[in-house]
Amino acid sequence: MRRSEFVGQQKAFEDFGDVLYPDEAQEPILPKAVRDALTEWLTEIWASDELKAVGLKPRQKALFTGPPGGGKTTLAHHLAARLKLPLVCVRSERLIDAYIGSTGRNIGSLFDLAAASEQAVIFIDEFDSLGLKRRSATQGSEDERNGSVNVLLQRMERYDGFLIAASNRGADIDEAIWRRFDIQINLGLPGQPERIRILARYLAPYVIPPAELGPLAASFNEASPALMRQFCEGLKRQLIIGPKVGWDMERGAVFARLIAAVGPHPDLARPRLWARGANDTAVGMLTWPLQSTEKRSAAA
Amino acid sequence: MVGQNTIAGKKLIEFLERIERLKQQQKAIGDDIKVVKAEATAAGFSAKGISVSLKARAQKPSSFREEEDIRDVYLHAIGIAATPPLYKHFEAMTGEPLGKAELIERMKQVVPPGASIIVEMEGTPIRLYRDAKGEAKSEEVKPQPPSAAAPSRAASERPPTDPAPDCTPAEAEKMGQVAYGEDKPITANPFPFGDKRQARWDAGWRRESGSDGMGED
Repeated sequence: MRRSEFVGQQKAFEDFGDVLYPDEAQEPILPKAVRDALTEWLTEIWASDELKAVGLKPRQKALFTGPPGGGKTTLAHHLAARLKLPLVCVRSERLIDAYIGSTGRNIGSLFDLAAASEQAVIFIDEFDSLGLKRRSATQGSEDERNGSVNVLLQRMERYDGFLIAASNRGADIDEAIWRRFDIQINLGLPGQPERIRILARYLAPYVIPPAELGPLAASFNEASPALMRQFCEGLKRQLIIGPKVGWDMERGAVFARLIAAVGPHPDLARPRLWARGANDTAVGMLTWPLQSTEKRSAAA
Repeated sequence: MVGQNTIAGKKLIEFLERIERLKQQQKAIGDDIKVVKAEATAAGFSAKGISVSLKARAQKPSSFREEEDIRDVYLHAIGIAATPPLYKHFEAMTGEPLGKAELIERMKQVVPPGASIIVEMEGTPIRLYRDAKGEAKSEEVKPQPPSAAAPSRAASERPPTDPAPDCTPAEAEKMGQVAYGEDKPITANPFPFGDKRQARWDAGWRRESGSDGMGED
């Protein structure tokens, strides 16, 4: 769809969250198995006419689970961009309401709007806040929540369009809702090849030679992409700001400041770099100071 | 009585005595306040007015104004106040019903500097504002085309996307290959959703790059 055609409906969608367009999308960094599953889904969508001929429809609803900061939104945006569709990021606080029945009504009006509009991909982040397991109610509030889950179930069943939901608490999602998704993908923490690419992307335009990047990526074991991004951005910030304010720019001092300033959630595993601190062997191996280049290909 | 062989009793008595002393002070201060209030009443001020003013000063200005506005609206709603708060203000300025032009003249006086008021009179919206010299002016608000009236942020920031190129599916695939060579991202596909050529362009890009568009292996 063309942007100009979407602008009218965008206003209405903005009541539910933000609208992201294809030209803002980033390339996700994912393990091969996940990428294959996604490529299969895209191919299926592009072949929808052929599928229709044999009485089939392409799958339309996907659920992404995995730890926070794992790139679920980036991935949904990338998929929507490949299809040239706007991504409507629904914010759950715009759906959940304090009054009895309001949450269900808000869910209903979101799906009504989506059904009446031109094609768009609906993306519901923090899906567990809507699709939580139903329980036998002991309080009125639990009755209400069970009620909104039922509304969600019915509306999802009938909705004929692309819907992607994301949650970092997959185990808390209602079984019946889980089953309504045609695709369930778990985006785990990145492995070594993904970590190398994530570091290279977010350190650009600074370039670390492959022989040093590998050990550095290994020291980020169990780190989420978001944490790695924060670390890289912090490092670049220090390289620019540090000399101006007269900080100690020795590698040990820079890494010690960074490790103190950003860190994983206490419940998540601590990467090696955080366990060993600036004394980690990977830090010692780095060519210091970092080399910068404008050449994009060198970063890959 | 303080129990034998224990220091807890003594400690407790100390606390109690401290509290009692503070309570005495509290009472003394309360008496002082009463005296000041009596003085103010003797000087001719209303006791009720003083307590209302004290309460208002203790509140945040915003919450005080909100309370006042709600009170005015409620009083009008239940019929204790005969006219709505805004009308009351203008009636007080004139004392008799006004024509449209006169009413605009009167309303101009309440336009704050650097702001404007839009009033609907006899079905036409009229904007009241102050110009650079601080002089109050009025003008009719022209209805604007809907797209210009509420330009969406995202739409105004970017130029509209180019129309899809006119070509065959095979040419679209070739374009995808060229796009990869020109270092364009895979999301730069020029074909809209539902266009058969979208898949061909994507396939061309992927074949040329040898990847699935989500980075190399």
